Amino acid sequence: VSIPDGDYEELVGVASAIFEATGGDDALDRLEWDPQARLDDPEWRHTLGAVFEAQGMTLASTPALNRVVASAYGIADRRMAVAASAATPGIRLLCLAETGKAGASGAVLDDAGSGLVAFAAIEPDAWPGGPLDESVASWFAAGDSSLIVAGERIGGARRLALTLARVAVAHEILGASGVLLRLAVDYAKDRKQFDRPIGSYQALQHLLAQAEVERRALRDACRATLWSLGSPDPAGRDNQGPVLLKALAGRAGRRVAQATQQAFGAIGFTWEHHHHRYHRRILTLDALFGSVDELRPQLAVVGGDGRLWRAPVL
Amino acid sequence: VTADDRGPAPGLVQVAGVGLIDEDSRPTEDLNAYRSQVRAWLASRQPLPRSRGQRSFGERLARLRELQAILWAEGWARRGWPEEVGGVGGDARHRALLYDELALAGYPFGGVYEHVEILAPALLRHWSTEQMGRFLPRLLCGDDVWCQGFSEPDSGSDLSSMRTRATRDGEGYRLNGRKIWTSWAAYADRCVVLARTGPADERHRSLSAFFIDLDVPGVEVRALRQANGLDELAEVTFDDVLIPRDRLIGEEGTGWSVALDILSCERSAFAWLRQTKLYLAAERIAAAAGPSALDAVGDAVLDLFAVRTASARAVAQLGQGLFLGPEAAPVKLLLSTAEQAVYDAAQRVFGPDMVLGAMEDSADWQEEYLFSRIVTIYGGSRQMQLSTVARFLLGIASR
Repeated sequence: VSIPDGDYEELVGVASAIFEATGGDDALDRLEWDPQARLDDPEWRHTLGAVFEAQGMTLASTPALNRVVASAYGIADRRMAVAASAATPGIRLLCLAETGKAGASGAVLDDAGSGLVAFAAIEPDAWPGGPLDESVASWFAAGDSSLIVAGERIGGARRLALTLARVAVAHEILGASGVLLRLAVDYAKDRKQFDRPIGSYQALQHLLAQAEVERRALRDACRATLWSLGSPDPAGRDNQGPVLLKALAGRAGRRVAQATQQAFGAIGFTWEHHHHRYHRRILTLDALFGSVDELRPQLAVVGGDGRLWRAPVL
Repeated sequence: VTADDRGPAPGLVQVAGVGLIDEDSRPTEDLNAYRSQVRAWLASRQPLPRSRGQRSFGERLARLRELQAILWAEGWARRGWPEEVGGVGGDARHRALLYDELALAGYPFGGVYEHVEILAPALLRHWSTEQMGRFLPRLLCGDDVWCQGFSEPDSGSDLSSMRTRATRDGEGYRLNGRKIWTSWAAYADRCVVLARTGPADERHRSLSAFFIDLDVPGVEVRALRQANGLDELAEVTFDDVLIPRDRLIGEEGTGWSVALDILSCERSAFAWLRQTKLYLAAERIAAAAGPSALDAVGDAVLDLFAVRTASARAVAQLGQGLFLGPEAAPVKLLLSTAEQAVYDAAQRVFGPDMVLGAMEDSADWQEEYLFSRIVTIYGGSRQMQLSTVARFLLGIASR
C-alpha cells in the first residue's frame, strides 16, 4: 500500500472536519480505525497520526486517546487511568477523557507494582485542582479495586500502550503547534506598530521562523516514527523512536507556545484569545506518558553496545 | 560560504507536500539487502584507512582519499550514481546508507564525501551528459578534490553582490577576482566558481557558474589557518585566468540557480552525512556523562534525532531528483543546533579537562568543539536561514 503525503494531509482534513462537525467522539470509528492494532498496515498508522493531529488542530475533547490506550491492553471499552495519587481519604485517579461516560463507571489502571487494577466506581474529584486542560484527562476519587491481570503478563501490552500513546500525543502536539504558528503568522502580518506590520521586523521574523523550524522537525519526526511502527517489533526495546518523539514533541510544543505567545503580545495572555487553550493542551499532553523533562536524562544513556539509537529512516 | 536568499529563486523546485509519507520512497527490500551487503563487506574488509589521529588536515585528507579510492574500486561508492558518471545506479538513499554504515564501523563521514554531496547532485542537474561524464568520475573516485568558490571578501551573506568577473575572450572567458573562506581550496584540484558575466546591478541575474582548474596560470591559493588550528579554508585569487568555453556550467546567466542547488544540498542532504559523525561523538560524550550532565546530553540526542529524521526526508527527496530550495533552510538550522549542542554537551561532560588539555584526546575535542562554532555560519548564516524561513515558508515580508 502506498499512501503519498497528499493522502495523509487529506486524512487530516477529513478528521478535522469530523471533529468540527460532531465533536469527534467517533472520529476513529468513522475513519474505520481498527482497535486491534494493525501496525503493519500503513493506512492504520496514518489514520492514527491524522486523527490525533486533527484533534490537536481543533482542540476537540474525545475518547480517542483512551481508546488507543485501552485497545493496547485488549480492553477497548474500559476507561483508562494514567496516574494515581494517594489522597485523604482514598485514592485519586487521573483518567483519560471518555466523553459521555464521565464518572459513570469504573476505571482501569496499569500499576507498575502489581498489574492491571480495576476500580469499580469512580467519582469526579477536582480537588485540589485539575490538569491545565481537563478535556484531556481529569481526576476521579476511586473506591475499591481488584487486580485483573498480573504485571508479569502485561509487559507487551504496556509497551504497546506507551508506544501508541506517545506517538498519538506527539501528533496532537504537532497539530496544536501548527495552529498556533498559523495564528501567530497571520497576526504578525496584520498587527501594525510604528505604522508597519510587526511581522516586518526581523526580531519577530526570526522568533517565528525558529518556532517553525521546531514544528517542521516535529512533523518530520512524527512521519518517520509513524512509519517505523510498521517494523517487525515496533514496541520492542529496540525501537526508541516513540520515546524520542514524545520528548521532542514536548520540547517543540513548549517552544512554539512560548514564541507565539510572545508574538501575540498582551492580547495572547488574555482569556478570550485562543492561545492559552492550545498552550494548556500542549502542556497537559507533555505531562502525560513521560514529559520531555522526565525523558531527557534517559535519552542520554548508551546501550550495552555503546551505541545511541538511530532512527531507521532510510 | 554564505548566500543571499533575499533575491528571487529562479529554478527552484517547489516540493511542498511532496513525498512526505511516500511508502514507495521508504526502505525497500533493495535498500535493506544493500545494507546487509555493506555491513558484511565492512566486517570482512577492515581495517580501512582512518583519518582520526592525524594532526594535519592534509594528512587526514590523504587518508580519506585512500578510503574513497578503495570504496570506488570495490564498487560501494558507485552505488547511488548514474552510469554516465561511472556509477551503477541507485540514488541518494544508497549513498546515505553507505555513510551511515561507514560511521557505525568507525569511519566517520567518509571525509571527502562532504564535498561530493554538496557539489555532485547539483552538477548532475546542470551539466551536459558529456561534461558530467568527463569530470564527475574524477571527484567520485578520489582522484580529484573539488571546492566551491562562492564567498568573497566583501560578499558573505550578500552573495549576489560579488565582484569576481568573467569576461568573454574568444570562445572562452577570462576570470578576475578573489574568493575567500573557500573550504579545502589549498588541497583542491578544481573549483566551482560563481562569477559575474553581466552588469553588476543585475545582481543574481548576471551570475554564471564555472568549473575551474586550480593548477593553471593566474590562480593563486593561500591557505588560511582557522580558529581551531586547521587550514581547511583558503583564499583564492584569479588573475586573468583563461576559462575554456566547455567549463561554463549550464548557460551564461544561470549561475544563481546552480548556486541555489549547491546550497540546497549543503543545507540538507549534507546534514545527513554530518549527523552520522555527530552520533559517534555523542556516544563518547554520553558514555562519560555524569548525572548532572544528562540533561545537556539528552537535549543533544533530541537534536540529533531531529536532524536525522529531517535530513532523511531531504535525502529521499534528492533521491527523487528534488532539490529542497528554501525548505533546506530548516534542515541546516537543525544541523547547526545539533552540532553545537553535541559539543556544548562535551564541554559540560569533560569540563575544564577538555579545555586545559588534561585528557588523552583533548586535542581532538578542542578542535571539534571550536569547529562546531562555525556551523551557524557556513552554508548561509543562521540569521540568513531564519530570514529564508520567515520569507519563503511563513510568507512574512520584511517591508
